[in-house]
Amino acid sequence: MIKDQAQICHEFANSMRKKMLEMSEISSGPMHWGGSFSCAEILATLYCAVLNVKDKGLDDMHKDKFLLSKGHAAMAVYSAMNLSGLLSDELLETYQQDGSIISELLEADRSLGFETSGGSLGLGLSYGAGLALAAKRKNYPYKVYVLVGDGEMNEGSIWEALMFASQHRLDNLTLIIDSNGLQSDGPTSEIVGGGSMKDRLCSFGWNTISVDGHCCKQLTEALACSNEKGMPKAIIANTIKGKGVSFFENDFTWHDRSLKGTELEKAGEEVSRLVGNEL
Amino acid sequence: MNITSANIRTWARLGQRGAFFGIAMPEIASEKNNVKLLTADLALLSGMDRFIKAHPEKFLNTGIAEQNMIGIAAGLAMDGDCVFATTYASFIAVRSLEHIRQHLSHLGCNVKIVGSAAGVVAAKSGVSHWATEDMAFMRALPNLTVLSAADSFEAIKMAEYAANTDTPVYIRLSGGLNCPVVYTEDYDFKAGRMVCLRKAGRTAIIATGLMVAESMKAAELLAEKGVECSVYNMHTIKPIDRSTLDDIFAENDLIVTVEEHNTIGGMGSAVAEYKATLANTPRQVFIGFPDGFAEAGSQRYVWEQKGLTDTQIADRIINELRHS
Repeated sequence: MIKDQAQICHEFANSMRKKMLEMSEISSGPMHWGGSFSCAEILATLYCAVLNVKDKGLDDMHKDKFLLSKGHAAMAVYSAMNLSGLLSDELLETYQQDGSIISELLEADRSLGFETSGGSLGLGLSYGAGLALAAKRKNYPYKVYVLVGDGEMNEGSIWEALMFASQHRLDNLTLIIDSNGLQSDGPTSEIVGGGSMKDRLCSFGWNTISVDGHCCKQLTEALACSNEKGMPKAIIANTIKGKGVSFFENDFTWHDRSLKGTELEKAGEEVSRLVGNEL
Repeated sequence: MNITSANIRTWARLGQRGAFFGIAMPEIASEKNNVKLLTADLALLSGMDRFIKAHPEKFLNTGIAEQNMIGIAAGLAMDGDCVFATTYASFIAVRSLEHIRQHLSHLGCNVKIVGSAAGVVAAKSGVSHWATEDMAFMRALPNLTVLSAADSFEAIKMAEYAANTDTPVYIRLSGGLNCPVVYTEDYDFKAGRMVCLRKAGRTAIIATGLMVAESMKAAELLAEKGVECSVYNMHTIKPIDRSTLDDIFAENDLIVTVEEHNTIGGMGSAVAEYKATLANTPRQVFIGFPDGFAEAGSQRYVWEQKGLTDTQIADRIINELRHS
């Protein structure tokens, strides 16, 4: 059962990559390839197997909250939502156009399902903890998922929120770290690494699980298992920045960059092969 | 709220912060189920004991983590709660600025941020605990209403107003215990509408916060010397009261703005920005903290360095009129 679902998630992730490359044809500027491709499986698993947001009959008390704190992966969210039927093709075609609601960095629009703005790093977990606390106090069943980058863990306010969430036993809150090992200027370990992230999160009172962030089976199991009672959950998803296109992978210069010349064609061929292999 | 002379005196003794959190908030929370009160570890110093005792489920100490407090407040507010979040103005308006910008200003979360000890009441603590730029920061954020209380009674009025709106508000509370009284009896508080406290002559003092009481004393001193002037309390910095300002500009030859705040970006700047759009308006004198810090000491000592005491305000106006 899980294997089937994992397979669906994998196909979905590669379709997202294809969709993002298509979006570059309407974008006039650079796009955040590295951090968007690294979290494709995470988002695919969330949208295909975890979040209940596709059920349009749910009210706000029941509907899960997904917060993209690493707002630069907006295009990954747009593609996932489009493929899930939550964002129209028409809207997707306005990507990065003048006056569009779907901008390069995710901006809040609750009517569209964008719970918060994510451009400024380190803000999402506090907000998510507030949403989780509200649900706890009112016995609402929704769950809160916050996706951050490993570079984003440099931000001090994240650690304020980590302490708060364990203090308040927010076991309806899940933090997912897209741990692709690179930030804008280079390797995260060489900038403000600080040793084992898992040890640090555990010491902050979080139920912490480390997974292969490109393995939808591991992601599904980690996301689907119930939080330990009274503990918020952190999933360190070990990923490859730019995963899916050979020249994006592990090259931090593809953090935010325009595709030039034949690059789009080459990337398209590689992603098409990924999609093709699954069929 | 039971408004009597005795109560007004009691509220003044408690100061703006004590009246706001110790008197207004417990009562508001009894009437409104959706009210929450968050502090970044300043409950006792803010006089929240009564609130905590009466409404423990509506109270939350988020710890000494002001940025996180704003995010938590925003999250709590998304389900219809009206969340008050407070700490010293120096921390809430400066350290948490970006969180306020993203969650309150842009997202419009129903959070009321209350900055206490604004200005230089924590005079001996020095610059870290002063807030003389907070109005500039808050005023520049879209969708925020910016209020600044003249006395404890007005602070209570602001709490009631804020609890009955569903948009973000910044409330600037200044002074410590024994706050000077501006309003000895009930008055009509309307956000966005200045209050005329004294009307005479062709000089208008527009003041905010503790400078309202100080300006009233200055006006008395001036009257003794035969110089008449009006005094207005600009308790709402944003949105600015254009129609009253139109009348003030038409009726006066000199405008004097007085604030316990940097002269860049504060109430005086707000008045000047509007005035600059109009033709044939009177000259404006800015009294406040000229750009720069001051030496620590008693509050009056700091005010004296900046020319903010009643006698200094009066002398300055006489000098300005002489040179007009």
